[in-house]
Amino acid sequence: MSIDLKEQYDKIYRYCWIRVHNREIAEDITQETFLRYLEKPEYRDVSKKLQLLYTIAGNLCKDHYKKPSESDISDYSDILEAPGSGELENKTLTNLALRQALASLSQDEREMVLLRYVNEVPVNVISEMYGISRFSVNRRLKGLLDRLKDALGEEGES
Amino acid sequence: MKNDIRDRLTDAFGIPDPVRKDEFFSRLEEAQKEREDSDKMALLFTFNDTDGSEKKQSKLTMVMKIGSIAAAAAAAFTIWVTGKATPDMVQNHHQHPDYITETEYTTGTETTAAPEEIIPTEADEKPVTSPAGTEPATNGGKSTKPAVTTGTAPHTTAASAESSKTQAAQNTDTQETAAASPAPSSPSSPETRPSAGSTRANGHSAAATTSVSEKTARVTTTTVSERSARATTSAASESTAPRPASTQTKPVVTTTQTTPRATSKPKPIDDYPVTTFNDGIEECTTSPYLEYTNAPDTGYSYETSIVQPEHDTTPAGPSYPPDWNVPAPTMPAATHIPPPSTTPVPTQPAAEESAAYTIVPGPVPTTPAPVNGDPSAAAPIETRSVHNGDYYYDPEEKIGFPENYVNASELFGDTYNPDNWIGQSVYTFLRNYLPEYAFIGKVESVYTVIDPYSPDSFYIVENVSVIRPLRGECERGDKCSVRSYGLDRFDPDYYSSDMDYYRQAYPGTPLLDYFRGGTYIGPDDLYVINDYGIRKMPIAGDICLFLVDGNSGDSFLTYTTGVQSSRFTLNNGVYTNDFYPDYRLTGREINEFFRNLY
Repeated sequence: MSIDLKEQYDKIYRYCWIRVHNREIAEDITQETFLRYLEKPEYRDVSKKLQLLYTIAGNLCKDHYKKPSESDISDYSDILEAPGSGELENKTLTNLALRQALASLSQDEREMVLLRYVNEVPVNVISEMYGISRFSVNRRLKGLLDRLKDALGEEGES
Repeated sequence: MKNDIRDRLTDAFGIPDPVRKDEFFSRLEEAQKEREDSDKMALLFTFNDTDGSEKKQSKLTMVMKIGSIAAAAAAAFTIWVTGKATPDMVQNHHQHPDYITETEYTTGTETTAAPEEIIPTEADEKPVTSPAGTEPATNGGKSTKPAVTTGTAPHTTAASAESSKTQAAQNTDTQETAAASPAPSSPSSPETRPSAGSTRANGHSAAATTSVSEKTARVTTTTVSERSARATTSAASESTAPRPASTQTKPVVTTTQTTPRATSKPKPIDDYPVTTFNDGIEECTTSPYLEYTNAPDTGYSYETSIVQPEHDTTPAGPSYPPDWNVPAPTMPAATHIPPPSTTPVPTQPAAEESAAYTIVPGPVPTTPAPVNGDPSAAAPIETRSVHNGDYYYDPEEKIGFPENYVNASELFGDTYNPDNWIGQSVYTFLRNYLPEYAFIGKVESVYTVIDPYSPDSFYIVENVSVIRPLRGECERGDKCSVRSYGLDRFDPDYYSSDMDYYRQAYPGTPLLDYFRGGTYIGPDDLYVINDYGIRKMPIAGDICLFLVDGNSGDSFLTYTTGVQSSRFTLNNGVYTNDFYPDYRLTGREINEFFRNLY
């Protein structure tokens, strides 16, 4: 399975961003992910390249967390009050209910939603990333999606 | 709906667009270009393409090119050896009109030798050269051609014999001719020779190339043309002085070109051992590669070697009646694998063997490796090999699933390797999620449907009526739909790993009556269906023990699907769909169809 690196750049970036909530850092990690991926020929021989990319990115994000200078950004709801996020707020103002629903999810749940429904990562890749079965991934996603659907429905009704 | 959710989620996450993407990739490309200077091949195989198949293809192309060059060289060498073994052919080449023509052409413009110098040479050489003798007969009325042709050819040959050791070694006859002749060319002045030779070296080489190319096209060799080119060159350089001046001889010689070619060509062609090269190819076609395609020590045989001792079962072909209207007898849970057949494995033509997906009849000839040190597992397995995921409907065996494993790894791009399985086992979650419902039910119909949010997987859905509830809030006579993830592997150790825990969590559950330890001890006409994978493709009429996990968003007993366009109903062994009436798909084809659909 070959992958388009340029296409994956955006997706990996999103995945990093949702974990670090900082564009610069997310982009740094994204680029570092690709560099590490490209500099290791043995990586490119692996059949699960997509999973490998996400694994590298996830590990780099974890390394980023270990840095003491960084503030606690684990709470996704911080983005609503983050300085300089007015543009983003305007962009997502119409989906405030959905944002609130996302903010109510745990970090893993948000990641899973992003991976599956935004980045459209196959279920089997997600299952291997999280070490759970595809069935379990589907079931979790189903529940998450229902919650998000409710949020969308409420917003649509309002 | 799906796109709407995706777009809104993308907005809701509020992820800013990356700003350094283009810069990153431009720098990356620059780095790759620098790398290209140092290692073009590495760049070709690595940059922006991570597919190993292209690498292999490039390598294969290189190997083919190198091989073709080597083959051409081998053929040329063979021809050269053959030509060397036939001195008359070499002699013919020296007397070939091309050779003579070039010599005549060049000398005609430069030399001032007396015409009478040619005459004795002609007289001496006539009995020696065979093409000269044939020319009058073939050319008919052109009487001047033989005289000029035979007169010049030995002449130049004699000159070359003085200077070229190669030519002297190749043709002893011409040496004799030179000795017999009064050596008319030897007295040529040293002053004229270098100049004539130098001017000819250019002009003549061009002419020689032309004639050689014609020759090459016909003879299809390199060696001969090379030799003729060499000979022509040497002759041209040596035959300057004694040439007859003759602008008159030029047209005469030119007309003689066709005749000797016509007479001399067939022989070299017939002599060239072109078949030598073809023989080599034929040997390659008998390589054991095709045999290896169906070799038993493939991934499949490995799986069978694992599975066989665990469940001594085999597809119950007769219990799957293709007639949908006839109430099918219940599916036996376990049947015997027939003993190894003593009949020899029927050999197949190579062309058929290359079709790797065909079912290979007969016993596996080699002994599988022991599994977990159990020597019994090493026994030869008589099996109807189902290769690389071809575990779908089989015309002869009805539902052709392997009994214990439904190997879906290939379908999802995974190479299953139990020693190096990336990620966690797909069954691990069973330790955390136990079935909420358990009952014995009768399958009334079966269909499959794609999960709109998981197009890489699909469900097998059984419409079931509950016969005996074993656990959960269900009662006899309930109608429900049970979905399973199609073509998942089914863990043979499921019961041993989970029933113990189940026994602790839910003691006294009637479900446990069907298990002792981790082994199913229920009726033979039952087989277990759960959410996690299918062990065997169910069909209508089957009575099964269902272990069903609840779904958070679906009501268990009213499970339906609204994606009618992707719903295929199992009928007589194949799946059909009202929206795609032309499709009658097997299990694997269903999967392929869904993959293409999304």
